[in-house]
Amino acid sequence: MPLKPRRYSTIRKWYYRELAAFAGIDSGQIGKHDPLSNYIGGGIAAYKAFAISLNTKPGFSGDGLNIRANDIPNDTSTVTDLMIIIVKDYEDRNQSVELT
Amino acid sequence: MIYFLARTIATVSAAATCGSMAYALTNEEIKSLDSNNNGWIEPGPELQELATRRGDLNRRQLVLLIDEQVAPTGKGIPVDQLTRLTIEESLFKDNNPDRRFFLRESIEDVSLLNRNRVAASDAGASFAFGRDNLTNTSSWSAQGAIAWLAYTRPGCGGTGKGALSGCAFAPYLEFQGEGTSTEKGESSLTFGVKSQFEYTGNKKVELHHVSINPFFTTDFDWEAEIYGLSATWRPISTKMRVNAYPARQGDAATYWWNFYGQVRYQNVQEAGRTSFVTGDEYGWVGGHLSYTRVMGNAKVGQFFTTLAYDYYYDVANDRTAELANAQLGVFIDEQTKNSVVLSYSKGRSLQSLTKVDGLGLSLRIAF
Repeated sequence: MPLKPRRYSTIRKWYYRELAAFAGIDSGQIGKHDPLSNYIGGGIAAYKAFAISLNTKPGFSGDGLNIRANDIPNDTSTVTDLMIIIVKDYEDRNQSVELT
Repeated sequence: MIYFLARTIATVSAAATCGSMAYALTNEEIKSLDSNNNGWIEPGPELQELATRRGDLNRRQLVLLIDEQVAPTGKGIPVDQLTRLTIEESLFKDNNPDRRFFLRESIEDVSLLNRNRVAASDAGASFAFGRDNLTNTSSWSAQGAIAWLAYTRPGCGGTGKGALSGCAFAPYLEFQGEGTSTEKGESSLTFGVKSQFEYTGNKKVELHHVSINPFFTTDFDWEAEIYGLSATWRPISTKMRVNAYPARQGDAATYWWNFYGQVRYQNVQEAGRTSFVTGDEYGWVGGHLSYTRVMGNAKVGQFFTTLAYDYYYDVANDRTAELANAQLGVFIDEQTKNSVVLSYSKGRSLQSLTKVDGLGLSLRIAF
């Protein structure tokens, strides 16, 4: 049975919500082209830990998000880079993302 | 003497099939959308033009576009974000063993891993034949390496800085020799196994290739008996264009560097038709450096030049082996894989310690 398509804006909202909660700021304060390390701290370990933790967060867990350590690029990536990884995970699991 | 030199290069054209690697819209095209050249695809005509090319965007570019439409910043999208390819995005995709056979100038030019990124720096094998009707003699020379990729495992150690991101093994045959119809020349024939390990680097040097090659060398008459081991380090930086450049179709490839360092041990049981000395041991430390420059964008009819220098010091015997090479070539096809090259070499090759001093017109063919 095909998985329910998910809107890009919805996924983005979930992601920014979790990032803002982690950083203790409002999601409106997040810069999409900022280094992710600005919000979660430096180092690949922090990056991986945060990205993998998204799998269990509301919304993502219901969709079956399955980001693994090997999916994570280096720790210099931007906020949007992790968004790209999330979209890729949806596509890899054949859950389409409506890019609107 | 009429001297023809045919040089063949085998390049890898691993298809970029996944979304993140399918550069349908080239970096030059992206940059051309930045009409005021301020580094941003700004809201208005620039962003609208990008949106009309939506079908040509890869996943990264598409997400950046959609994100800007969903949550506009008012500034637009940085061009460097649209043209950037993180190393991890290509790391495992490039390590696809869809091509297992390699023909190169030397085994050091064979890149078993991430071949898309380093193919530009690879040099092809050369085969030459000449005929002098005045003296009724023929001459020949050959230099190259044939390798067969037996095993590769991309991502064998994970990702992240300093991780072992790939490994591959390939048996190979390396050959070098020259002679005439009246006189046998010097030659070497090397059998070995190339073990290549790839480590992720940092932002400037994205990858490190480390190769360890045990080998046995003889000559074309099977008289020589030389055992050896070499270890080679090859940094790969697309930003500095060392051993790679962002080889995306349509991009201008104006220049790149080729560099590697090597240590090599050789134990000569029988020198045969090489220039080594029977009973000697050699401990070479050195490397290779070359610079290739394309006069403008790489395209058919465009000239390029390559300057190369090899230097090795034998710590066991206090001697050196140096080889200099200069090339002037012209691309003869749209894909800039094939070319005609005039090259001059002088010095001593490391494979057989054979002296080299010659000028040749070469045809370099890529397939």
